[in-house]
Amino acid sequence: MHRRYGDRAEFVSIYVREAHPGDGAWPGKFKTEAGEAINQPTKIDQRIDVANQCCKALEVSMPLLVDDIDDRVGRAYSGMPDRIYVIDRAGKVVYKGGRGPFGFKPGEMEQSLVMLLLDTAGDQPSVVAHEQ
Amino acid sequence: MIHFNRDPSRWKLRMIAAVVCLTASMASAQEKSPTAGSARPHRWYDPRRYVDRWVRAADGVCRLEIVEMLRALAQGQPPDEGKGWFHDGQSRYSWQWLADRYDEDGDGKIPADEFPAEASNLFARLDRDENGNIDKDDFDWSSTSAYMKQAAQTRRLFGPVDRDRNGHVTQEEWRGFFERAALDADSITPADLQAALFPPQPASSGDDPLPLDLIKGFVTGELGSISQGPKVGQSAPDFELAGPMRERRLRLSQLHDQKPVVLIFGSFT
Repeated sequence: MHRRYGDRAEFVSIYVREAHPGDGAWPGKFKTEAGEAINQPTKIDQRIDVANQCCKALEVSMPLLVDDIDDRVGRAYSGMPDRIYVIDRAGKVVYKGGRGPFGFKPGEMEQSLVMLLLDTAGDQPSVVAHEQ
Repeated sequence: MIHFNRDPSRWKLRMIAAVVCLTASMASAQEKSPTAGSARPHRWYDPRRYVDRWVRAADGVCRLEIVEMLRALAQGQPPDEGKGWFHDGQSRYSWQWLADRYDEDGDGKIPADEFPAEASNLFARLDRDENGNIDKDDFDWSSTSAYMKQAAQTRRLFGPVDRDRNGHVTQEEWRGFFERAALDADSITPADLQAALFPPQPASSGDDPLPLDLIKGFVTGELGSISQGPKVGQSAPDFELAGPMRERRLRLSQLHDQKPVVLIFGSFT
């Protein structure tokens, strides 16, 4: 989807607080490449390290930002454990996905993004001209 | 300091009970006299002037997602699909918006010839079931829709095959799954497939999270978040963050100044 709309919308991933750290309330079974359990990072460098491992393992190609260790952006957007937003050029929220994992629906987001592009096509004549 | 002759805690309980009864009786009186609203409004010092507002506020609080989540967790219901814990997405746009714009003959469906020609490549992105028409069903993302039931079944089947859980199944993983299901045989039967897709679950070891653990996870922001986040139509909170290489920080307002922005929040676990 990033490749399909990358020229018409900015896709940005924001890496937030771990949902199932090994030392958390509901531990997960995820392990690093070295076979270690992933605990909740307490320093920004630890979170960056886990974020890099995540990108490599999941082959994430879109730009990634790492939330500050106090989770300020994740909390402001209620983004944990995962969620999708679409923001228009006026800075208004166009689409707010349900809370993940079960509310995380990229297809639903894509429909809203397409309709936003159709709605604003008059402002940007080439916005729906081609598909990559 | 005021000293009470009787037990202070009992006195406080009686005060609270009196306020609740007074409020309930006023709310009841409000319902029994529907013309009260059309009569002279209550004076500012009269609590009856504010009862409606209090009731609406209380109802609004109970409908907050965070309250629903806390209630479910306190009852020992961990997050699960289709149990209302995860609400549907909200959008400025909808099927109705699209129909008002492009359904020229008002028959409840938009075929390709009613869709703008210059955006024909986007038609397929909206025609989710690929039946040649964009219709209301294509926008039903609730857990009860046929499409989402298929998606749930697909996820259930994908999991045991995706050995490294990276969201992609390679040929090697596919062959590995077949070998696990076939158990040295050359073919698999429906029973083999079922056993491979639904392996026996170990008995509960007592390590399942307790309601208090789940609430702790909610409060710390792992399973959810105390904040609600911005609503559709509200301004997205501006922020500035750096990438993993600690290169220059990006500001949201600079990004959406040029193009709409898609924000995807998540973590590895």
